[in-house]
Parts: sequence; structure tokens; C-alpha cells
Amino acid sequence: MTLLAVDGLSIDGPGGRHIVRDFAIDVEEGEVVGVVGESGSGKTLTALSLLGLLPSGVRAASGEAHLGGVRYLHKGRIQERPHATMIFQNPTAALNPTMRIGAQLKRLLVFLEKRHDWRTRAEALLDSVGIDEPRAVMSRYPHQLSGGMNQRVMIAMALAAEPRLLIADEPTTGLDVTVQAQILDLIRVTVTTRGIGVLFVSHDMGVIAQTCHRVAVMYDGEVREFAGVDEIFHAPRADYTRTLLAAAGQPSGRVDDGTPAR
Amino acid sequence: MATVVDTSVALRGNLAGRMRLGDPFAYAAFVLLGLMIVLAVAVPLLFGTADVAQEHQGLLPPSLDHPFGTDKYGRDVFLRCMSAARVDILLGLGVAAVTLLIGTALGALSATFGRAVDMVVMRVTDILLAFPGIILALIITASLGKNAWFAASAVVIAFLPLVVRLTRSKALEVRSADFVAAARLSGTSTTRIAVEHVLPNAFKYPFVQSTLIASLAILDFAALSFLGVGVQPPQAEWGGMIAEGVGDTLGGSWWPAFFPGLMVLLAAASFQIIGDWLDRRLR
Amino acid sequence: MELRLDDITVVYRRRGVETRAVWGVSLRARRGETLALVGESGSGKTTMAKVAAGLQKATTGAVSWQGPATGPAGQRVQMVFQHPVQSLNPLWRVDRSVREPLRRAGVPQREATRRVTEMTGRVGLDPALLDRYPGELSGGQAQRVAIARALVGGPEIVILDEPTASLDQTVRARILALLADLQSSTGAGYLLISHDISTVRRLATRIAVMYRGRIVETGPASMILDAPRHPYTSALIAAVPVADPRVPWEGRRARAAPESPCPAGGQCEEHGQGLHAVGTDHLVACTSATIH
Repeated sequence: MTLLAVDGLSIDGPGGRHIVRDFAIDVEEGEVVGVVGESGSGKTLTALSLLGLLPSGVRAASGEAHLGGVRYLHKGRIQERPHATMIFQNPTAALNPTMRIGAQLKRLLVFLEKRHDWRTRAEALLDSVGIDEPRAVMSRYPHQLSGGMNQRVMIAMALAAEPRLLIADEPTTGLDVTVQAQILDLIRVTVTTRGIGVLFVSHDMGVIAQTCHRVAVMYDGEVREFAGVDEIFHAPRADYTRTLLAAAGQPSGRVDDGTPAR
Repeated sequence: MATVVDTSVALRGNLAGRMRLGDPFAYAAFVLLGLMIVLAVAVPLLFGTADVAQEHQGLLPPSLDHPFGTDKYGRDVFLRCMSAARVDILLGLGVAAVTLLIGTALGALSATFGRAVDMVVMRVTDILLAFPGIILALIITASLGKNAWFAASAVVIAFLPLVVRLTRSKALEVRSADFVAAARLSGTSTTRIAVEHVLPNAFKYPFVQSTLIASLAILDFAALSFLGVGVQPPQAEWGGMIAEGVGDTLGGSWWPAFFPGLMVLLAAASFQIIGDWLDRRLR
Repeated sequence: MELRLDDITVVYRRRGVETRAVWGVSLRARRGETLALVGESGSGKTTMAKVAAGLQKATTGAVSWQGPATGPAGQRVQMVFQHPVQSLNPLWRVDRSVREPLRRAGVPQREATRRVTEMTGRVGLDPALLDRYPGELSGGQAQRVAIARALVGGPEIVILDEPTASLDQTVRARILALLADLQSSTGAGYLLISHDISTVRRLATRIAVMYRGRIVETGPASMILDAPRHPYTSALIAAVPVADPRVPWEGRRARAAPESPCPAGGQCEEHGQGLHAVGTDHLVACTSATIH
């Protein structure tokens, strides 16, 4: 069944400048949908708007979104909080630097459901994201852990609320490539075991190719193409998709003529 | 390889364009300060400084003849306030300028020439910072003598460490930037790097700070004169006037102390607001 | 001319804690070819770049130039940085930044202008942009300026520190093409620091793989990329996701493995980590690699 359906989402910046125009997408349960584009394409702001996290000065002028059949976004505004969570780029910066991991988890778990056995639950969560020594990790501060470890912690925290949809904004950008492989695998496994849907925002065509089932290609605030991953990479229809493929070194891409920078 | 340096803001050639006022408070502050400066220059020239009594009867309340009233010696409070404005505002600007010049130089020096120099400068600033500004200024004037110049120097010394510290901190940041590394690779000497790359890029921070220092300097100097160690009578000075007028206030004549107090407030506040505006503009 | 780094060890001391960033690494950077230093975070490749540039002193080891001199002694090494806009003085028009190496070398004004104009053309930069400030340029444009600055003085070696990591995909391809092109026309040697295999593939003649401060494998680019012998190199290359959904992707491991001195779980730390030859010009620091 269609988990997430977004239609007509438009985002304006300061001075009424159009940043995103008419964004529409859908995500099924157990599916990873990628949103790929370069900087300035509007992909991150789109992701943020789906959870009502737009920064000041930026607002969603219009747009409808349904999660599990229930409309939660109307005319660009959140009507009721969706059962969805988000993970971000640069995990170490996204965690509270003044609190140990355990304390942050405790806060979150107690907020979600007041239970005395939060510790057991926290350890189980960390284990489920592939952390071998949960207790050791819980006693550390974010800056004492590697980027990969912190990203696992962030995924654990995102999954604690048992969301139906997970939005991932460049979750592996900035991580070592071997760590990236682990995190992407973790996301894949999570999708399969929990049956959630993932909206995966990235600029990396390799990551998109190996992680997503369907892909939306964004350029300058618009969705240029939205199709299955194989079609995007082997039978692209939009010109910009071809440009991206060429830059990633793909045969289906258009050859770049290397004109001088203007 | 480098920390992030705020390169999105630059004191570029189109500085005039970027300095356009858009903020009502800042606008008011500029106007007010401008007005005070004009009056401080013009009024004493045109109407004298009222160092000697003009009325035989003292403590006349504000009237058309004497907009701020007269003090207990019969001197027009308004004229005295304007005469005092010359001293106080000049002082604020002077202290700001001197601390900026010396402070940025020392800060840049400390950041550029290695551990030894840095240690010396830092320990000296530590010692100076250990004293609250006023106490430090009092100690210095007490040892040197009751004189406006000594008091002004004392205020400079009290604020210098702040500028040195800030400049040093920003200079260290700039030094770790990639463009400084590029300059080194191009064969640029350490001194030239400090002068051509580090100082210009670090300068905007102490510059903003100096407007705030102007504001605090006015307050400190007024306090010193209030305590009798700054400007000596009969030269008018806001703090001194407040000291003289305190007794009168208790007797019911509020104006000899109130108006100089108001002047201090307006001048200090104007500098603060301008400093905040500058801070926002340069970010 | 060749830039030699011999047996470089760099130890940082912070609050009594010693961290060894680089341990006994030797490299040669030559004109006309690209040596790529590949590694992940903590590998020490950035530290090696700083030592090569002369921006950082090695704790032990020697940096020297060997061979016949082809130009003046100053400015033999230049660098292009990861964040283009930040590598230019924000208060200077970019023209001045490009000109600076020539000014420092004492090149007269007219000659300097000629060389700047020529280099601007060669890096594909619109001359009108020379009047701009770095904050007004895009990442790609700023990087072209930085490349012009690096090459204008005719250096022997240019260190490229993740030169395209912060650029958009489409811009990345053009900049890499530019760098390759400039290498053949100027003859400069590149020391490329990168964690990105596709960038390395595009530019490298030779590759040295670093892991936790040591070189684990070194050899010709094609050999390292297509037939790596060290388990870490293999893992690194396999971990890169291929931009094609039909190509099966290896390198997945769901669980977080603890950091080990040997990525293959062996004991190289204790058993002496010299590099062994496994082919012509192909060295590997792994005893298990020489077994098969």
C-alpha cells in the first residue's frame, strides 16, 4: 500500500523566491525512494518540509502529503505530526555534544513511553543497528565516537519511535567509504525487517544506484524524472538525468564537452 | 586541513552600499549621536561653557532661559552638559581608537610570532583582566595622580586586554585558513602574511568590539570622574556633574544630576546600538 | 626533479597523549605523473600532504629534492585545496590571488600580467571573473582560480588535496578533465590526496594506499585498482558503490567491526610491517598477501 504520497509541494524562500516547484512523489512500504540532485536542487529543503522542519525565512507555500492514507500536510502546513523520523548528514554534529549517548537515548525513550526499563530497551536498540558493545557506546560522548558509530546511534534514535517512514538526508556523505557501505547495508536490512519506507536524499549516483528502488531526479527545484532505478540508469528520459549519469561515468550518459566555466 | 573562515562576508569595495541603514533603532542612534556631537561643538562656541556662575541664585528649575535648569552655583546645566559632551564623547572615541590600534597590533603579534611572544602577551593580559575595569582604572589613577589624561590612559589599559584577546583568537583562526597556507607556499614571509592576510581578515571583529568599548569607556570615565579621580573642576564632565548634583537631588532639586545622567545614558546607548548594527551588517 | 619523502614519521603530542599520524612512510613525487595517496579518515594522508608541502614538520624523516633543477628554487611545490572559496583571500580580487606567486618570486609586473592572462585562458576561466571576489564565484570557478594560482609559477609538483570533493558532480568531471589536461601541457607532477576512487581512477599513474599511518600497498594505478593484493585495498575498492544498479555490490558488512591494526585481522603491527614486492613495482605490506 502506498505509504507516502506527496503532491504539489512548493517551497518559497525569502522575498518569495521559488525554491521548489510542484514536487510530487510516492513511497511504498518496504521501498527506498531516492531523491538525487546537486547543490541548489532543493532536495534537502523538500525533505525538511515533509516534517515541518523548514528554517525561518523559508516556507512551504502549497502541498499535500498523505502518510498511510491519512493527510498530514495540507497547503504546505503540518496538520498533525506524521509517524516519520529523519536522520541527517554529519551525525556527530546532529547529536548533543554535552550529553553521553546513554543519556540522550534515555531522554528519548522516556519521552516516547515512560518505562523504567529504558536501559534494556536502549541496549536492544543499539544492538539492532549493529553496535557490538552497546554499554561502552552509551557511556561515551559523541565526539569520542567515530562518524560511523554516531550515525548508527542516530539511526537507532530514529527507529526508537517505530516510524513508518524514515527520511535520510545525505546520511553517508562525509563518512569513510567502508563505513558508508556498512550504514547503507544497515538501512537496507532495516527496511526489509521492519517494512518501513525510506526517502533517501543524496547527490551520489553510486549510492542511489545501489540503495534505491525508485529515484526522483531533481534540478533547480523541480522533479525532472521519477522512475525505477534501472530505468533511470539505463533508459533515462530527462536530459538532466543524462548529464548526471555522464558525470558519474555512465555509458547511458551524454558525453560532456568540457566548455569553459562561465 | 583548515577551519572554516567566514568568507561570505568581506569588507569589499562596495562597502558604502552595504552600510545602508535599514534599522530604525540604528538610525535613531546615529541621529542622536550626530546631534550630540554637533551640539557639543557648536554650543560651547556660541554660548560659552558656563564654568562660572550666571545667576546669583542657584538651583533654578528648568525653564525657557535654562532648559536644564541651573546647578547650586548658578551655572546653566545645559551649557555645562554640552561642554562636558566634548570631553566624554571625545574620550569614548579616543579610547576606542587607541585600544583598537594597539590591541589589534598586539593581538596579531601574539598570534603570529610563536609561543614565546604569545606567552608573554597572554600572561600580561591575564593579569590585567584579573582586575575589574573600574578597580584597575582607580589603581592606576591613584598611583599616577588625579588627572583626565591619566584617567583616560587607565581606561585604555583596562580595555586593551579584551581587544588583544579577541584579535588573537580571530587571527589564529584566520592563520589556519587554506588561503594563508597558499600564501606560505607562494613564498610569503610570516610578517607579510600577518599584515596582508591575517590582520585585514581578522579586523572586523575588534572593530565592532571597539564601538562597544567606546560605550563602556564613557561609563567608566564618568564613574571615575564621579569618584573625583578623572576630570578635575571646573571643567564640566558628566560624571563630575552627577557627583555635584547628588546632594541637591536629596534636597528636591533633581535636575543638576538628572540631565548629565541622561546624557551618559544616551551617549553610551547610542554607541552600543551602533555597535550591534555594525555587528549585524558585517556578518 | 623529484620530491622525496623518506621514512617520514609524524607524532602529535597533545596533553601528554601521543598520536602517531604517520609511521615510516616514504614517497616519491615526479614531474609528469600523478601519485595518488588513498586512504580513509585517520590514514595519515592529509598529514603526508602537509609534510610534502612544507606546511608541517615531520618528527623524523627527510624531505628533499633530487635530480637536475629545472627552475628556480622557490615555489617548487604548490597546492590546490578541498574548499576552493576558502583557499582564496576573501578581501582580494581573485586576480591578485593568481598573481601573488609571481609577485613573491619577483616577476616584473608586465610579465606577470602576461602569465596570469595566459593561465586564466588555460584553466578555462572567463577573464571577466578575475575582477570578482571569491565569495562571488561558484565552487567550480573558484577552483579554476586556485588551479591557475597553483600553476602560474611553474611548480615542479602540485599537491591536490581532495580537489573535487566539495564540488557538484557535473562540475567535478570538468575539473578533473582540466587537471589531466594541464598535467600534459605543463608537465607538472601531481600528488593527489583522495578518498574517492573514481577521482583516483581518472588521474592517477601510481597509487599508494594508506591505513592508519602506514602504506599498505603501492604500485601502478591499473594494478592497484584492478588487481589489489592487500586485503584493505580490496575492501576499499569493493566498498565503493557503482553507479549502476545492475552491477552487484560487494563490500557490505552490517555490523560495526572494532578498529584493528590490520584490516584483515592479522598481526602486522607486531610482525614488522615492511613492504614486500609482489610484482614489478608492486609493494604490499601484508605477510598474508605474499603467501598466495
